Amino acid sequence: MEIRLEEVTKTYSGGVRALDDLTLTIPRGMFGLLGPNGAGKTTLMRILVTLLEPTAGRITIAGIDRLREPHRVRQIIGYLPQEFGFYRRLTAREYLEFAAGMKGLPPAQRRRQVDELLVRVNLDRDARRPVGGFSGGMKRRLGIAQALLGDPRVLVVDEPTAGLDPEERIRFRNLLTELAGDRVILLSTHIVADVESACSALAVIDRGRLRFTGSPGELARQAEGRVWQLTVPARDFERLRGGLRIVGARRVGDDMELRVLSAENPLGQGTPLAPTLEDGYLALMEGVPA
Amino acid sequence: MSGQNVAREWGESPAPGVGATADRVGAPRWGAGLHMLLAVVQSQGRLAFRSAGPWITLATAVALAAGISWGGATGRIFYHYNELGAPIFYLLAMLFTATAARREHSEHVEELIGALPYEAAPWVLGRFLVQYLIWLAVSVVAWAAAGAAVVLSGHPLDLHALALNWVVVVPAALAYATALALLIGSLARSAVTAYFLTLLAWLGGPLFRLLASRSTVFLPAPIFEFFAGVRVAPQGATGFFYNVDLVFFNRLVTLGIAVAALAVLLLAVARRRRRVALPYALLLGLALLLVAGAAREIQLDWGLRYKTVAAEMRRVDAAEPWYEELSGGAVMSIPTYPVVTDDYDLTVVLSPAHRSLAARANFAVTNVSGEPLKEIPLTLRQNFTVTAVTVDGEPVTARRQGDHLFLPVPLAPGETKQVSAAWEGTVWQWRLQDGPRAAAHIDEESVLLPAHYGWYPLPGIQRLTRAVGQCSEFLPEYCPLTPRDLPVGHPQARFRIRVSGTDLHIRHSGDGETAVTTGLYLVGTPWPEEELHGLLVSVSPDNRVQAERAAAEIAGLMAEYEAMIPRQALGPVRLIQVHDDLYHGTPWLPTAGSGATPGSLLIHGQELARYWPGYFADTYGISVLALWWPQYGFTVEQGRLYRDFQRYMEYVRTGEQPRYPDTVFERLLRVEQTAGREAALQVLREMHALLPAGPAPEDFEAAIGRIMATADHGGGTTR
Repeated sequence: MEIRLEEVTKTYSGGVRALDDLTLTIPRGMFGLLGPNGAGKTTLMRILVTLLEPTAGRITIAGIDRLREPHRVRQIIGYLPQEFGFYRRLTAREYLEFAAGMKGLPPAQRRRQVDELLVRVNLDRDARRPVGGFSGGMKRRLGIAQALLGDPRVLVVDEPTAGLDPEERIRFRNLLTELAGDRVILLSTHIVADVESACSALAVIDRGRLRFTGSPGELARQAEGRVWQLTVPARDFERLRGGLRIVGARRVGDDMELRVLSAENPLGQGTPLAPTLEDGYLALMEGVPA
Repeated sequence: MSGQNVAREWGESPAPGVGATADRVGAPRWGAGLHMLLAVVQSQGRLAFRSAGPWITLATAVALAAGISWGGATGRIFYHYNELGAPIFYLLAMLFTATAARREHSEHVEELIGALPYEAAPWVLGRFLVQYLIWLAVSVVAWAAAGAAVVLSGHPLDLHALALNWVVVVPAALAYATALALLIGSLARSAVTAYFLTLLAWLGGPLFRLLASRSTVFLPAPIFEFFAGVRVAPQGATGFFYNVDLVFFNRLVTLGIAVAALAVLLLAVARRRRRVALPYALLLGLALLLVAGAAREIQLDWGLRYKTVAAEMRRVDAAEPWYEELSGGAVMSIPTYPVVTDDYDLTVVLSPAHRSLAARANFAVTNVSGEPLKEIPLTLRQNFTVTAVTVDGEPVTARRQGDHLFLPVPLAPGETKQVSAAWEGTVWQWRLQDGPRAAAHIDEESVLLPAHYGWYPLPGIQRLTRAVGQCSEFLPEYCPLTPRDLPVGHPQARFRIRVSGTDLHIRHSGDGETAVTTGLYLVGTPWPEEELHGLLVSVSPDNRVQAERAAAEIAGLMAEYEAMIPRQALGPVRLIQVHDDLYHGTPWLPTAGSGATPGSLLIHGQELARYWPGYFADTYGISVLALWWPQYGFTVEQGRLYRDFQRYMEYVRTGEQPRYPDTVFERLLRVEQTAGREAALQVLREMHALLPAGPAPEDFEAAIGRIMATADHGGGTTR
């Protein structure tokens, strides 16, 4: 089971080309989607979940033609958008029952799944409270629960951990990993650490085009031999910042400990470091100065 | 719990492959759709009942229904609640529906639907269904309260009217109120806009009523007869808003729309802070024209309906100062009955379109005063001219004094004489500035003539109604008067009535042939028939008859045109329906977009008459009958050709030359004068054979050349 995109293009009415001839295969398991703002990540996800139609291209999701059979796709897909509204006067349980109904679940199955998911996202004790009184984190958990309704074979999550505290973030990451099993989970995020710790494969898109696809390790290797640690006096930091590609800085007494991306040993004083996924991503997106 | 465990516990095993997945999702879609719809209905229902709107509306509607109906003698609760209470209910329902939709909008619930892969149709349908059912339930309770109030106050229900309202009026009105309010609430960008547009939509309700009032033509005959046969007043069948004069109200609505358009336009210009561009200026001009036009119409309307009547009232009062003397100073002491009438045989011909009435009557007059009378006094409203009177077969000349007639024949105490009279005149809608006080009612559909209007000779000296307190012509429950308070009366008499008119659906309080006694009840009035005096006749156009007549005329005209120039290229002549501006009946020019093909025949006025019989009586509508031979859909040159072709055909048909003939018409006329009419028509036939591309001016000239050449060689015909 996988998602296949072939030469998918999306051009908005204003002429903005959000996706440009994108060809990508998303295999079973957790798959990360990285890219800067405006890269086309949300457009891609909205096309996958049938909220947008592509201008051109072919898409199959678990063998179903996305363009010809959107109704069938909606029944196997769960989607957690970055932001969406709630009926504030409904309780959490009532809202999930509504969402389950909208996924076409029969009443008996609906109730069972809602009970399960309320426990799973730790909202069972707040199930009878109106959603209007929920905190941001609670709303996000409720959103996750609605995405999981109907036991979707494909889960698309857009910035799922934004607004969660670290504990909730880890908990959610683990939940996704646990669910990954035989599902396709597409995780779009700005938080590279989420991808690093949860995804076995990822893609980087930029301005609608595919820049990279592979494993997190392969992306990290884009910065192999180009990551350096450099310690300089704090007073020189401002001067050096213009000339060096500094990706991290920490003050240690009167000195600054810098993490630098560079093809050469910066100032001849750098110590080589093992690259992280973030280094690889930055090296890919912005290049590495000589 | 792993994902697979979750799936197992949810009763489904994770699909091993694509095929299994496809099987799982291949469940019948109608079932899933039903689940979605039910989920929406359930959640929307919860939301609705957690808001105050339905409860406030319910309380208001029940209070209104019970209050309006309580103590009123009536089976006319349809009239009172439907026309006085229900509009308020509809307004509240629309405002609360729009508010709910607007609230969802502001709380980004659309984002919920728009942001998640849900099916939109069940959501939209479910939302409508919930609102509709809620208002239906509220309506049922309110109507039940009205019915209970009537029954508890000891009066019967008019079940036919109730049925009619529930079959026709309530479902349609609720659908209108709910759908429009939802749409407004979902689209309005601000709460103020939502309220404003909702109010406008509510005011637009009478347009709906207007449409419905002309809809009887679409009803199958048995249903039409059922409703017509039970004397349901027109407004009972179609009432949606107050019983206001439609034309007048439509003008008010037009004015409101124009003012609103103007305000929106100025607001838009102000917000954009730009120089007023040409489109804005044009729109502004249009809005101003609308305002001016509507205001002028209202002013004219006001003058016609109120000012004229008031002037006439003053004149009548000044001319009849002797009332007080006759009545001993107390209005309520009249009527006086120096004579009584009996054995009335009435023949009435009515024409609502012209507001005319012509009647003949034979009746017996008896002197009951105990004193000898030099003249026989009768009362007949001064609108009517007496054309002939005989007493015991001898012609006499009646002396007219205001609303009174004096027949110069002495009458001894207890003596009876046989009177025959004929009279005719125009019926006025009798209203005053300070309220809908009326003694007769006329609109474009009907004439209602209660006895107190004095439309037939009443016995003795009676002061005819000018103003019946605060009551309207229908004398509803809220009227403080009773029938006995009416300053006209009629002792027991036997009536025999025949009423006729052109294309009329006639209802009256007799059955046409059977002798009836006084106590005939007014259509739709609350009073038991034995309490009322005199006759009432109600007349309205029979839409079906008019439609049939229109269809026959259309068919005749088409046949005439076809006989002149058979259409071979595009099949037979066909009708085209185009839009009109609703209440003036002014047609718009047909265009290709209206379905007009080159050379097709447009009989706009008559076609409209099929659906809106009111236009049928409109002289302008009839004049449209053959005027439009659409020149649009052609090039400009072809259009000019065809416009004059049509003028020539009309000339052939009617013998009348066009007021503004053009060159082409002149050329055809010359051909006719030189070579005969058949030759000119032959030119048109040749032009018609060039359809659908249509002839060019060169083709026209060439055809004329050929025809004239043939004529020159002796082949011409004579007229």
